[in-house]
Amino acid sequence: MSPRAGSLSVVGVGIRAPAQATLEGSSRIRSAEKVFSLVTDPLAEYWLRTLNNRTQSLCDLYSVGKDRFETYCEMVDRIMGAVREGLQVCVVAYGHPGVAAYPLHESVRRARIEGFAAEMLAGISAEDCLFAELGIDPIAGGCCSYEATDFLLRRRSCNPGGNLILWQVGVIAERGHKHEDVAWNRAGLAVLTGVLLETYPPDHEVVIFEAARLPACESYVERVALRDLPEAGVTAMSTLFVPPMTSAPIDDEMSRRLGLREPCRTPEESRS
Amino acid sequence: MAETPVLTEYLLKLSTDADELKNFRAAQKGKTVVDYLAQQGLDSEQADAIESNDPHKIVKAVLEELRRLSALHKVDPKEKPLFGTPVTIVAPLGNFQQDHLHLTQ
Repeated sequence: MSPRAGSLSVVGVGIRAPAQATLEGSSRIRSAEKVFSLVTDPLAEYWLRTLNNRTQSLCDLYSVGKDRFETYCEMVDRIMGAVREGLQVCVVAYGHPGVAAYPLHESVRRARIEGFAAEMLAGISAEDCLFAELGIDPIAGGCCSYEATDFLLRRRSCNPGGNLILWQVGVIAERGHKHEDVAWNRAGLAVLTGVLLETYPPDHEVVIFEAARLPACESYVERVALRDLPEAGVTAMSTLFVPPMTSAPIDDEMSRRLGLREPCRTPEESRS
Repeated sequence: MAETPVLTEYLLKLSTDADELKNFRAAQKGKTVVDYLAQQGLDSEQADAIESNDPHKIVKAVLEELRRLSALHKVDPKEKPLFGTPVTIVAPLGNFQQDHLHLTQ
């Protein structure tokens, strides 16, 4: 069965659009019959309209006091409405369109179920910026990445021998929407700190990171002792990086089972 | 002939032109960034906003520029696609502060 008329491309333009947009993503934006945007600054919004003047923002669906899930459902309805009209639709999101992006995943899922061609093209996420700018290799030591509220609610375990990334530490337990340009829930941040202190010592250095969104600006990087996290410069967009406290030991038995004559060590372990 | 949004276009240039970014960084380092930006056509308020390295001030300056131009000029949307299009800007820094820019033709 051939796909129905109408299609959906979901595209990420990175944290700093247009600098971090991809060629394939830009191409989809240009050729779309309808573009929906979900970007976070007027520069990106302006740039999108230079590529395609059939661009409409989805951000008007947010409002203070409204449950974000309700907003997300309305986004899906608006996107799918255009796809069902038979249009080639492109949805443009900041960062990576598949990270912390329920309405975009849901739109792709529904479009495919209904027989429309649908795709998602990767973009540069805040986590990608963090790896590059803090000099973190997630493969060295491993890396766990959680949304902060989920981390707390589900009592996710910390591995002190690996890297830990916590998203949205400034909006813990917030279902709605606020205008404040600071952490929306300081009390939640204090709870998170308490939970991390069950694993890490109070003086363990953690990093609050917010990738620069504009070309003239620097990323926000604040290194604080874990005990001081509740008072740190956290905003609604901050990501928390918790570096490893220890190095995970190598299991000699596993090393033998894998037929390794010498245990595999990281370059850092080999140097020490 | 429509006026170009100088600050907005300059920021786009900084995003995609490595040589311009290098020149800008050099001016920043040499504490001459305001003069340098004036040479690029930015007014003093716009240059101050960029010099501050404060994304909120820069976003505000961009919004003000786009508003002012849209109020002053009737622009063919094909020529300047932002103008004439109801735009919702989420600023600053994605904290979902909504600023509805209904730019009129």
